[in-house]
Amino acid sequence: MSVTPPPLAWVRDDERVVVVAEASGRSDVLAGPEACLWELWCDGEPDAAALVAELWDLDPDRAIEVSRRVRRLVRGLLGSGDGTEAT
Amino acid sequence: MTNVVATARCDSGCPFCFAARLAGWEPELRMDQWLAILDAIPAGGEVRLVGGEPTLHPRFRDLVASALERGLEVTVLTGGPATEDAERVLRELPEGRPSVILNLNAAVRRRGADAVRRWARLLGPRLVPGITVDRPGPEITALVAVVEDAPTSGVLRVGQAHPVLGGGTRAASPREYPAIGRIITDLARRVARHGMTVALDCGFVRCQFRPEDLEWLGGHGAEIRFECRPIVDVMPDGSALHCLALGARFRQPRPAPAAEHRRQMARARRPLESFGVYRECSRCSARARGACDGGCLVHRLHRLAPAPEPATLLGGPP
Repeated sequence: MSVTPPPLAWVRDDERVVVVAEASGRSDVLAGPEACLWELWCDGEPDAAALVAELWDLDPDRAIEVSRRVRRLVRGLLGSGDGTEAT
Repeated sequence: MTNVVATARCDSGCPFCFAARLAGWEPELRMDQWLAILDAIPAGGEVRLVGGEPTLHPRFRDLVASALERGLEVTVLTGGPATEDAERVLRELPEGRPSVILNLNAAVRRRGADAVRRWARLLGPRLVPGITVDRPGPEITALVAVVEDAPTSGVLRVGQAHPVLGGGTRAASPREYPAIGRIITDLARRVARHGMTVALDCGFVRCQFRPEDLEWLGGHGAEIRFECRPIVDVMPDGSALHCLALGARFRQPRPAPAAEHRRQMARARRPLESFGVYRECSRCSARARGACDGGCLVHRLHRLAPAPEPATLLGGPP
């Protein structure tokens, strides 16, 4: 394992995903469809958003909002947005 | 308290030892480096010589003497003195405080039970026997039996074998923790009959002990803690590591008081505090109230998966 941590790393806990950005000293938590979308993205699922919408029975507006929230979290963790400070 | 790695050399070869991490570092602490490290330790503080096997350092006597001359308390973590002179140095350590932590795993296996009993007689209350548990099994009971009647400090230090970052050493799995917890409790009950108590090292988790066992341990003077915090191991070049298990992760390159290193390392690891060694740690009430840190940080880091590059995650339409 490298001494230098990756820009983002994550772990699945019960009912949530923890995403860590060591470089910026931040971490944040995803749950529900956002956590599901995160896992599918990280698994390389090409149509992750559509799959989440189907799995969670989301209407189109809600599905778009899920994607936006996850991207907002990524930007926040990387220090380029309005993410939540380290938990 | 500051740990200083005196030498990377060791003649024990314990399968769980973090010394595998020392490859690539300067093998031996030089006297000028040692004196510079001592300069950063506040008066009256404690310095611990670790390794490798610190008594293998060719100037072990000088290392100890120079720290004592500065009024520092000296503790040596050893698998048994490597030379007759090193044994004399240990016997000459000031009385009145525990100053030699003897790794029974190495000492009994490499030097034999008779040698360990002799050191226990020679060092008396200055000796703190210590064991590391790397799997659930009866071995530790036999190791501790060697010293349970000896006039030592009366404290048995118990460590749980944690991994080094990236693996490569024998480590207890979190799946084995509950079984290890029961073994340690049984051991504590056994040594209590000989007037000894146990003190847990870092990285234990509260849930590996049954509630009734925690109650018994707490009621019999055991020092129980469920912490993983920066230990601060100072390397021969003066840089400081969070602990040997984490290697260069969180390394602080410049000499500084250990308390300052601890503050910086605690800040750097803060984003890693929100999860533990088990998936269930995130909803653990003991963790939420600060009664358990969630286990060894190395185990926690091994749970982490790297995410795709941020550009991949952020790309494409919402």
